[in-house]
Amino acid sequence: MSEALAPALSSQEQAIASGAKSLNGEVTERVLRLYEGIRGYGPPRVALERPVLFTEAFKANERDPLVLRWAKALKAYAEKSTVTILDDELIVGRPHDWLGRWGMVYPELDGEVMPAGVEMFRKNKGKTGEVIVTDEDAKIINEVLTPFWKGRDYASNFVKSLPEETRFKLYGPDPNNIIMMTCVVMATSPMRHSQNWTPDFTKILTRGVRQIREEAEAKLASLSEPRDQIGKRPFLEAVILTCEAMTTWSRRYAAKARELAGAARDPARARELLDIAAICDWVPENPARSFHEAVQAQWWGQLFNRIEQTSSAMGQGRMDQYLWPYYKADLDAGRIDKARAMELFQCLWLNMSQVTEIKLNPVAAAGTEGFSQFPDVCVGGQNSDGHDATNELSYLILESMRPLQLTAPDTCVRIHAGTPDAFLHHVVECIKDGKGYPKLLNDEMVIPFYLANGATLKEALDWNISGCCENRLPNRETNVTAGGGINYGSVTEMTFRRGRLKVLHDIQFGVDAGDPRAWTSFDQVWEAFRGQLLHLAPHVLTQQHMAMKLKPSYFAAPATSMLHDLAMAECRDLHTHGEWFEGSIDHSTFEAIGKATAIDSLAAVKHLVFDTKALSWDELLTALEANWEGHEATRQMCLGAPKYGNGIAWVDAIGFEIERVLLGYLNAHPKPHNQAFLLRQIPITFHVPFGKVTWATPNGRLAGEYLSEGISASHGMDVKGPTVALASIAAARDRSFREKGGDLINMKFSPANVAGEAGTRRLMQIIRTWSELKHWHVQFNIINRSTLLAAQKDPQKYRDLVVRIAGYSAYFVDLSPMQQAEIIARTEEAA
Amino acid sequence: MSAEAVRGLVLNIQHFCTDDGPGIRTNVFLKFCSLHCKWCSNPESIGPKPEIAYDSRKCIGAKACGRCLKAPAPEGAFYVVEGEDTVRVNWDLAHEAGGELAALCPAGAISLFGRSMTVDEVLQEVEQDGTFYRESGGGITLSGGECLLQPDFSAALLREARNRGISTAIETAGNVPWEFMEKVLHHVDVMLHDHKLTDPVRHKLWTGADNSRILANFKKAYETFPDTKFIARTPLIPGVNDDEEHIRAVLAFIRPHANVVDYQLLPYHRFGASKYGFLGKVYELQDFSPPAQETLERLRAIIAESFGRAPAL
Repeated sequence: MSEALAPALSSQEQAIASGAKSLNGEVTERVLRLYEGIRGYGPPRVALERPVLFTEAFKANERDPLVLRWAKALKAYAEKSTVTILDDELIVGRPHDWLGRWGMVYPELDGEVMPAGVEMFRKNKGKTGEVIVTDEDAKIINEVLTPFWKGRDYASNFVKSLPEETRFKLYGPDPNNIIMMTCVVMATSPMRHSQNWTPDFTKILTRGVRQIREEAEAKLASLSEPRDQIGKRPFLEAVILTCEAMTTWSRRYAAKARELAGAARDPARARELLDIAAICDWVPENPARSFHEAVQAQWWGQLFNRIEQTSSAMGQGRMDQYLWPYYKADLDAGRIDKARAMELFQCLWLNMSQVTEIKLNPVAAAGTEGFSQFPDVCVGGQNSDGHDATNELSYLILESMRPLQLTAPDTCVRIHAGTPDAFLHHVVECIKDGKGYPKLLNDEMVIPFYLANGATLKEALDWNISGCCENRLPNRETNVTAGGGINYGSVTEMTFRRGRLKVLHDIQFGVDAGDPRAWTSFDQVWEAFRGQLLHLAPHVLTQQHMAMKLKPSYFAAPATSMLHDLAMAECRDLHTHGEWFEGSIDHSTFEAIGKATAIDSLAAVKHLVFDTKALSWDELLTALEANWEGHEATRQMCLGAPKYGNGIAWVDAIGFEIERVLLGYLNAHPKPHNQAFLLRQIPITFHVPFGKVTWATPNGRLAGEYLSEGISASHGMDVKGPTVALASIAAARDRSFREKGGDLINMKFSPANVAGEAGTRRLMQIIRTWSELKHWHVQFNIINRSTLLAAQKDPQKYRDLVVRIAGYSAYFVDLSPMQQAEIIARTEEAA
Repeated sequence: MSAEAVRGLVLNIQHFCTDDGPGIRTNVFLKFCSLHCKWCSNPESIGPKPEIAYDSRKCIGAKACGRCLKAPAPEGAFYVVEGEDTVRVNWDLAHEAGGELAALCPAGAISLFGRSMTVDEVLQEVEQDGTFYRESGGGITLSGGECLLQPDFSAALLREARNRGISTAIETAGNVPWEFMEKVLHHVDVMLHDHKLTDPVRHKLWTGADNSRILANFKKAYETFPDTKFIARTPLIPGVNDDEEHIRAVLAFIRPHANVVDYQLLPYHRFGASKYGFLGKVYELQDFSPPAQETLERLRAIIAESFGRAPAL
């Protein structure tokens, strides 16, 4: 049994306790000043220049095809937006003029519901999760943006276009409601333009936008079919305009840098600004020639994508791979050293850390607390030859994140059987800093997944991270339509309440399979659960088909599309992927949230009502109906019933069967061209709002309480420790279907459990075993419970405390009280 | 006797143990001990039979529940004092009633320590960690109580564990007949064993038995099983055995034997103190506190020097 004389602290906890400005490793004064400035700014503020300029451009070009309108809006933005270079910056370009967090709003997405979001955030002033919306900002949104976009935006039209029954499942009985989802069935396309995405940044680095423009010009010149004048021409013209816009924008920054250099008092800064000017004159128009140019070009690429559409879950790709040639060449030529590369990386990370995703849709905001935006940087893994791909940049990227308490970028390491111990050791040391990153994804699971879905082995070996636990093949995958999902908690409630949902005023929502009191075997319970699950599932698919059908009329993304081989080959915007790109892999996603809540509820009924007969149906159902009030003994029995995550074969098997029902259903209802709907079980923070609409469940959970997260066991219920939990979770997954997509495992250790070199080795062993067990994803919170409790009491002192949520990290003080409680309740694995 | 027929009285199976042998291990705690160390942090492991425990903090109260107040619970084993809702226990009556009581309590306030298990049942639970053993070099550790007091079961369990490719360790205080130890050691890769005190009189005072048989067993074990690895350990209790003399005496005893590969100090802790109350027992070391960090470091340095290596931090 383990011993601890004094509580061990993670590096992050030590830094907060001692008031240190940075954790492990040295940082330059410049980086510290930028960091302090950003963290001192406070909550993020909405950045409105883009939506205002876009709205103007959309008004001015009403007759153009959509893709051309979009490109013209980008061009207008590049020409007219404010150009700001702040002190100390080395990587320039920002869509706002303050040093601090910002979040774009996109009225073409959800302009009609934005006033509700504004009201919500203004009410939230001074509370956790605050967003700054000044009076002036509110005025712009309410008087400029919404009046134009009302009725024109995607979100409201999506809701109004849904078939009646599907609309009812997603938005409830009020036909005029276009904002509040039932959270029983969910659609995420009204919350973002695109499903998680990873652009092929190498094209900007190695070709420059000039070569992309030239390719488009050549294609335009050779168009011969009359019909191409309708479809391909506007797309190609949009690509050309977009390339011009990116060049215009970077050149305006070059001019600004030169102007500032002339006025700079400090000659060193003046020289830096002249260097920045030269770099911005060159990239992204031309291929990068140095590491600094490559990093700047990467930033132009990601920033322009964010201006084009929601930044949501934009993977940054395998940065250690595509930046390596530039770093190596500079090193060999003596143009750079490790310290300089570190500083440039940190400047890029600081830029990225200012990007937040502000959702002005209340449901979306609740489901993505902590301003998640998933700008994943992927390192490690294998190269397309099947060899280990780790290089010096893999280490350097992780190392450069260590000193700063940043929530972005999120770093992700691809783990495979051949990951060198030295690198894994480094990875674990970074995890032990306690900020929740890097997260780990498993080559041993993801590569077979791609092979089952039609990728070549070479392609599969080169997969990229995208989003919290997802993956992308940047030039083969085309699905840019966000998905939908279901609430396992509601399915459970409907099973025992004849298809009715208490929070929805007991309207008939699901199937009425009769009074459970008449059920005489667990098989009947299972059949009822299965029936409710299959009753809801079709609506997820229906809304998805509707989203794919509608999107080309509402969204275009020339800057994203021009980086994709298939879009350029067919001269068509990626948002038209519903029409099929030849040779593409076009998955959609089907999310399911609260897996352990469902498993544990079914297990409790099997154990208490049937196997031991300790409870009668009547007592259980009465207790549930009363939300356990006056039935505490019954609740305790339910809490004490066998739980998922403890190596109990028959309990874990329920989880397997649940997955098999959904996977079988998805397998039988593929998308056109035999493309798959993937089952994902990744909560972000949706398990909190989904729990709010779920009445008491037979696992002993109270009405309104959060559901279980990801595919982890219910909070605090995996009492046998991390080894059994991981084995149990593996047993409850069905990975035999190509439809088995990403899922998420959270593990929490106290710093004492992983202290010292022995602790590092132990965590390495756990990670190796996790990989052997063919899990998809894992992430760690290494923090003392007492620290979280202290942070609730003294948010100012713990302003910079970073914690892990779901595929991303967030500042603890940015979370709602309910989400904070949920983080605290996650099981602390003890040795 | 065949492995299927042997049953052991198992206290607990604990996964993800990292301090009792190499790698990530699964500890199987057997009930029954031949010592009564005053610092014992597992008082529930001492008695030879299953034992009732009661944790009043988990009781949800007589109003909400009250199941332990009526039949089939024996009258008076649990009762409520006027003006209170939380149930109290009469230990004599409760001990007599035994295991049936635990099943009555929905909240887990009443629990039972010790259950009879077969070798296969234990290994099924242990093997959930199998993949972790492979990566970490871990395995099963039999602990207690005193695992050598159930020699047939322990031997059968460890033999079968080895058959299934699992590395084996035991943790023993050594106060058993030599035949018991020998029987089990045939199936053991690593033996962790305690050197609690040097002086036989003080050993008896603090643990209930003197150490002559213990030391004789250890010496014989080192010599009879040259391929087994032995790790000596001392639970370090301030004022009882945290002196250099004891450490040096242990070193003098173990160092001539090349198969004693390590000597570890386990600082005293109080994590087990509350369990005494749950069992209706009295914890005598109320005023003790963990050893000072500098004492621990000083003594560990002596050990490191003897083994010719840098002191562990």
